[in-house]
Amino acid sequence: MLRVEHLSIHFEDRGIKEEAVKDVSFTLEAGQILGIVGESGSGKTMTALTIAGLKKANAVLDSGRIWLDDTDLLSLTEKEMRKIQGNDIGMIFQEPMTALNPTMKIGRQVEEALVLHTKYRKEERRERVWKALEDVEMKHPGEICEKYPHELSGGMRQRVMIAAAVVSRPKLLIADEPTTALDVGTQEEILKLLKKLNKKYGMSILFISHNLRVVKELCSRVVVMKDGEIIESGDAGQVFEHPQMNYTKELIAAIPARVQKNRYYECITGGLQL
Amino acid sequence: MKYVIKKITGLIIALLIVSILAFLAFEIIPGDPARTILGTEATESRVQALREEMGLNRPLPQRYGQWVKDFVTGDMGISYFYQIPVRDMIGSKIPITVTMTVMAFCFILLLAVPVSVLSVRYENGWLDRLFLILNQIVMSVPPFFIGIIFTVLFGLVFKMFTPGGYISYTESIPGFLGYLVLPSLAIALPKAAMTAKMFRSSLIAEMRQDYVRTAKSRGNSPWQVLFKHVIRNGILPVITFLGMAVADIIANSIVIEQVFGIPGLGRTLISSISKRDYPVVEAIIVLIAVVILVINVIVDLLYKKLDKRIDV
Repeated sequence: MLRVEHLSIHFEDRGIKEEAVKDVSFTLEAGQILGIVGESGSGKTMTALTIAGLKKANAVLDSGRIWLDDTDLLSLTEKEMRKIQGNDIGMIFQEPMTALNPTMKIGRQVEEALVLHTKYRKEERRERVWKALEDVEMKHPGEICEKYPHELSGGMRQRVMIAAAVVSRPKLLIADEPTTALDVGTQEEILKLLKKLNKKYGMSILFISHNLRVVKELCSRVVVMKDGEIIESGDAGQVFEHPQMNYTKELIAAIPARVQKNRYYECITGGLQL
Repeated sequence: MKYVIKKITGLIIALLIVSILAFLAFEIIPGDPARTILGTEATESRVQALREEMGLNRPLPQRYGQWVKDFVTGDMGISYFYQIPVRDMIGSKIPITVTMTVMAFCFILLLAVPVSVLSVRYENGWLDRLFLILNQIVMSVPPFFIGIIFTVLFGLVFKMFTPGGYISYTESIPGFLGYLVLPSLAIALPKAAMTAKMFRSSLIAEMRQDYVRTAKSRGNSPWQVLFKHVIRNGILPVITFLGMAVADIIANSIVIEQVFGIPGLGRTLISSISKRDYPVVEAIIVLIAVVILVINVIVDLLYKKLDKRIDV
């Protein structure tokens, strides 16, 4: 479904070149959830933004291809790419506080992808917006549509972001650290929601996170990135149970043990368990 | 609603202060209106008699109270110099100044909005740079000088209008509007340049916001991002600035009326000050203050309407 081949990108800042992504290749099958993990500066967000056609002007593409089904996204003009953005690819971001337009009603923001990519009439759009808001488990979609972002909590805003991204039923949802800015309880709800949408609509998800616990919970496959390179990839279970690289082992060891009743004892004895 | 009441209370207090200051100013500055009316030849006893008749010998608070009471009921007093009601004197001038102010304001918007939006769309491109240089030049030229240049250029060189040949709105509305174009433009240009500079930087700051990336991720074109998302947010600080600009426009219209020979409020104000014609001066000052303060209340309310995050 999504195939990234030998992607290399560097930054150019006042003549100084800095490699951001080095020869990255991976595949995301239809209906799958693929996690990209790594610390900040590992190139994971850069990769995601490039797939979404949102890389900044100072990021220069050196080589590579990004296939979405049979389309090479990197060969498209900006205008052609805009037909895919929001329609075939939906994206959600880390900060639901700032990622929504503060002076636009929720309804109009969720509806926007439909306005841009479909010829639906107003009533049909409203129906789909309500459906999308129900899909992200928001009650009273009619009331929510009339609200402004500042009237919602962080978790609700992220739900709205997801609704806006999936309202057009994209094949691929790119989620760039969507739970990082949220508290743990809300994180859990958002993850459940993404899983549900993945099952319900067979929507593939590319999930970017530095949080291995979250990735482990959600993803079937995982790619570990460090300094712009993929250092390990494979089945999520396999990578977590039998990490091959020292870096991955360190990352896994750094996951705080979850305080659960039956594991409490292990925690205090220092047995780091997941 | 509470917000509106709060704003209007503030407005009334501000008006009271302005009216007291306007009233006091003429108590303090030297010059006796009775003496001005009668001339330097008049005897002291005649001046005193006139002072008594005009009520100038009554205590200050009493005079102020009477004046405010009359003003609220629409009676602005009698001109000392012309002996006609102030209302009749300035009533016919108000449309002139209002038209010029509104025209200047429209020119500011018509010039500043496209310039700044184009600058932001092609940020750091040649157009942006060109506008930046033009802005800097226009911003630094005072309106009266632009007025003089216009008079020379369009009046004397291109002969597109007759300098000083003001056409009253009672004669011909198109002629009247036509004559006011250049003076309004002269007032508008420096303000438009400032507005454009401000709007540009406000828009550029908005373009760096996260929601712009979200908008792009939905497939909005750069123009759509600007018009559907960024302008509405970027215009907020500019609205406050434009509200304050109205005061400047009115102030500049007083000067520009002299340059173009337009018999508006400004001319009346200046001639009345030199004649010590207090009732006229006070009426004009308070009227201008009312307009400026009301516009600023409107700006605040508009601001609140556009930015729902402000709740008081």
